[in-house]
Amino acid sequence: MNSRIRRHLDSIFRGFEDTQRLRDFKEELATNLAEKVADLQASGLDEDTAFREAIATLGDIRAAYAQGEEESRPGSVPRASKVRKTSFDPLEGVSFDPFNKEKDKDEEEERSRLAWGVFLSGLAVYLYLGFNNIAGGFGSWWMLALFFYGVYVLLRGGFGCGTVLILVAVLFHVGSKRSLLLFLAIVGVAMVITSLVKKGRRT
Amino acid sequence: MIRGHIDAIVLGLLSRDDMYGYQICKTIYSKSHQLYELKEATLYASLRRLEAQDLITSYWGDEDQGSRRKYYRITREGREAYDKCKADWEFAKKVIDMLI
Repeated sequence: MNSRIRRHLDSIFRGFEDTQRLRDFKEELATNLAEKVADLQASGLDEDTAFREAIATLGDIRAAYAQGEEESRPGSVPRASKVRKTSFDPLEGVSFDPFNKEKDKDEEEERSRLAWGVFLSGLAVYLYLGFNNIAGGFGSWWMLALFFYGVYVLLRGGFGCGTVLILVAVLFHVGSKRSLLLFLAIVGVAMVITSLVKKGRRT
Repeated sequence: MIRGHIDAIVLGLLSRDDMYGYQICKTIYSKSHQLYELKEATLYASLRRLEAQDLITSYWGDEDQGSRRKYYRITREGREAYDKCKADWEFAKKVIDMLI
């Protein structure tokens, strides 16, 4: 259980600078969570339920840590959040580990949905421009870059990418080009919107 | 509404004894007769604020076995701040009870 808790905390604080302060904070939280899981198990819950219930009471612990990090620096001006990286990375938090049953899905599912949404919408635009030979068509360098980025997203997406690839292939051969584009665009945009709406509700 | 008084609640608990994070959450849960459960994020945001204002300090416990616990201790300034918070709360409660 301790290693499971540590893995969960590592995934929560992914993207933060690995400082002594962060290591101490994670150790402190790990001790708390282990004790909470033990208490919940003693009250009759099974290990998995106890773990899920314990981590559910963490709340937005990243923001609490980031707040303390700002305050611990003399003369620093507090900012809303230190969590975000400067570069846009829709894959943040999406790990290539399709068989890890202990993957902590609560946060990752949401980010994964955004990554897929961005990718599918992008793919729809890419195919549209290619089919109509706009801006150089499939052969232009930026189209190739977009294509390889798409492949990279699929590989990092892990479980589920096979299904999407099959669907794309089937629609491509059986359906018309228009139905394929429509499918990708609708699914992609829907995923981005639901991801953003969920995020908005949480904050 | 309760969250607005978390700092005073934490200071109140620490004025009786040094405590570690989960112990604070557990005590709040049991003292509120299971009516209020504090999330770790809220607790740690409060602890960081109180530490930044030198109202509390922290130290690692020396547990013989298992993981280490980090304990929080109230400072003299913390006790003064708590007394003031308590007096303010008593006054506000009295006035609000008369008006609502």
